[in-house]
Amino acid sequence: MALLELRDVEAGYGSLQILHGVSLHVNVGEVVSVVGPNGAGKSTTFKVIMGFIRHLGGQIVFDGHDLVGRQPDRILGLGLGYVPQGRVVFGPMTVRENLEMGAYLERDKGKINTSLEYVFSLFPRLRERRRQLAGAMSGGEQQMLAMGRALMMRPKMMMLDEPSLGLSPRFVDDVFDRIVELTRDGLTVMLVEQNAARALEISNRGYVLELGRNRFEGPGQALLENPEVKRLYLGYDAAVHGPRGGEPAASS
Amino acid sequence: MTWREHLRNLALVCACGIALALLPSALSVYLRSFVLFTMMYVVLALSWNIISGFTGYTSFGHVAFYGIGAYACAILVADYGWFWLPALGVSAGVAALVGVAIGYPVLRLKGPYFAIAMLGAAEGTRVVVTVWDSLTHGGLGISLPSAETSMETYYAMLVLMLLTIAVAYAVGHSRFGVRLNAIREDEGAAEALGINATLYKLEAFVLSAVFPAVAGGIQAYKVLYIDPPSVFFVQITIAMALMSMLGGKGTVIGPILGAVLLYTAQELTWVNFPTAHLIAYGLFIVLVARFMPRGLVGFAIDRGWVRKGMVH
Amino acid sequence: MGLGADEIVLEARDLRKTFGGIRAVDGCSFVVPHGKISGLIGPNGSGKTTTFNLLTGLTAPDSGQVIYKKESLAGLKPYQIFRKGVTRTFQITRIFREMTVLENMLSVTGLGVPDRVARERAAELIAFVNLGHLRAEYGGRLSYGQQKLLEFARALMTDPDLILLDEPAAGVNRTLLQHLLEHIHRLQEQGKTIVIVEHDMNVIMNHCDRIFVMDYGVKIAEGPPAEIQRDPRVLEAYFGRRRRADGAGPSQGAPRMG
Repeated sequence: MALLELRDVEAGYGSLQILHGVSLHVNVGEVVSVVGPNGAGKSTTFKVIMGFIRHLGGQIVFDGHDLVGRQPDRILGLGLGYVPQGRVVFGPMTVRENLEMGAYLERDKGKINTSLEYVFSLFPRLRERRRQLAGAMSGGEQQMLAMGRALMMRPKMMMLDEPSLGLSPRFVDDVFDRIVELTRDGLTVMLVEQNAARALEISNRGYVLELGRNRFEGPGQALLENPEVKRLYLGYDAAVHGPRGGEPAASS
Repeated sequence: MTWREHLRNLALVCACGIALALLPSALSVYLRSFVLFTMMYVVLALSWNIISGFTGYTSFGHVAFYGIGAYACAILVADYGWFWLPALGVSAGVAALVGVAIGYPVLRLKGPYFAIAMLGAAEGTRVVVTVWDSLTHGGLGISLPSAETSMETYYAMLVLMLLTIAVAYAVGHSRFGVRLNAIREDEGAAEALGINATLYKLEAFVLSAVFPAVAGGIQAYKVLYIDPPSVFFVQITIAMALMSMLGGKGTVIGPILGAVLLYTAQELTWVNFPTAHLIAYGLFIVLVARFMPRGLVGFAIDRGWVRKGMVH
Repeated sequence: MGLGADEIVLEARDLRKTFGGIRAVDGCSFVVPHGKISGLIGPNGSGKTTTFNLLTGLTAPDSGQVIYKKESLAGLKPYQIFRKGVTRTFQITRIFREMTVLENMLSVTGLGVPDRVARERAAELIAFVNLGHLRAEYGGRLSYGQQKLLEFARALMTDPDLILLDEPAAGVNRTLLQHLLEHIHRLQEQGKTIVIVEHDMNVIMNHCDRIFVMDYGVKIAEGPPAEIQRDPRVLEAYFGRRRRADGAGPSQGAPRMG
């Protein structure tokens, strides 16, 4: 049974509908990426899972629980960790305080400390900088802090929304290394990424969305090598136009 | 707004003007004063509305101009023997200059920062006036030469009110007013449409400063004695703002309605409930803010009873 | 207008802009040809929005210049740039909600024509975008699509030579988008120059004569749509690049275990 399953999900903001029936699933221990060109509805998928935006139709089931209509804090309590887009850290608070905020729903001080130790062991740099103000750290470090914070509740599954956004290539390498490490401990990871190549190369499976609908799915490697997927990114509307002067170059 | 509608409004205002002009001889001194104050608050509310209602820069310090006007007139009449009417002209001039001086830096601030900066400016003006006693007699205040001024000041205030209404009306029904509204709605978008927001804001600000100053001057000549606390009275700013908001910020008739209603209500509660007056007043404010946040006229517009629009 | 086809109307010259330590635009240069529809594209974070804002004077560059019709726009405020004939729309419409459609149109200044002429032009433009029946309606009561059309019409009040459109397709249904694109083509036929910033690739590839692609704050490619679609650098910018050959990753199909 899948850990997370979405079936024909529709969602939107106010009068604007973004998802028009998206289906996907994530099995325990997998890394699954959701990619697609801008406006595909990738981040919206996460937001509707987390209950941040209006759910208009379809089913969302996590670990046997129906997520539709639940408040975000309840959803977090069920074992979903969420790292929002843009490295949202509390600038004026220290690294340690940020992490403690991640365990906000946990009452047991002992458990909080254990979690803290776990995060520090995964991200040694955070341990070094535990007394530093989060706002003073580099982009890559902030991204790790955001991830660490989501890990404080020891989630069963982590959802990472565009972890590479705004990071220089060096930090992107770093962050993706960490993601891979997380999975080695058995954590299930779902990734929404603009940088499709990077995401797919570390994924077991992937989904390619376009304009709020499923377009492609399959093993990460297969999607990486599929020229149709790449054509999607550069506006090749195959139904309307014939081939445009030759095949697009395969990615390196 | 068709020409016919404009003429109708003009006729209405003229009728009121004539009625008010014929009134004073029939009234007791107290009532004459009451009407004068009501007219004064119409002037203040309408002026405040130009910068705060139309342009969206809510000022908590407009009493500064009222005070400046009062002092300019008083100084010239008491210390330099001027006739009071030309002194009022100087009141207007000084207010315009101070308006530019304060407005230029302060109008760069937005929303609450602007409001508080204006509050500071008003207090600062009061302090300057108090301290500069060689010019203003400081805390002692200024006594103007005794005279029977009740009738003259009544008519002066009437003329000022009609003038203010005319100007507010002109602003509210012109392209200038449309641009002030655009600035209020979205200053960035307004700038992207060629509106030099800095200039327009400053113009609106100066316009809103001049009439309260003349009102202050008339008031000085009426009561024949002023001192800093009596003219730089923060309640005046609050009254201006409340009247304009009660009536309907951003409209022309709103502040007029608000001034008349609120001042009358204030007087009635003060006369009948001298101790509870402030409580009643406060309660009134809370009720209006809760149930009619867009003021009486705004309420009517929302219900479709009145058509809002300046340029059709 | 004094400019022939293929002449330059707008030039970005080595533009740089840093925001709090991030080099949003890092030496961007390109030349917009007169009388054509150009597209400015790039992935999120490429700096295209910042570049667009530099072109319209919303922000001032740290260094570099924006040159319009051979004049530098340095130091000019947005309203001055507007009066020179450069107009822009916004991604999320910024029409004036508490004002009517007609008032929105008439709020534009710098026209230099008498009131009557301005009203005529406003009426023409309102008709051009088929909003005539709504001229007395409040901006806030229009549908999103109608607001987009209003903003578009409003931007044309001064009969500008250069029109910069910020994501015109955002949040717009396909019918309305087709409508808007028809208007844009008509404007181009009238000799105007148009620059579109967009994410919607179909719009860009099917309607632009020339495309400039940005990534990491610089222009990485330019050319006609067919070339851009085949350009591996552009694909990499959008699709991403795989890690170096030694990169660690799961082997395909193997289930993840603790």
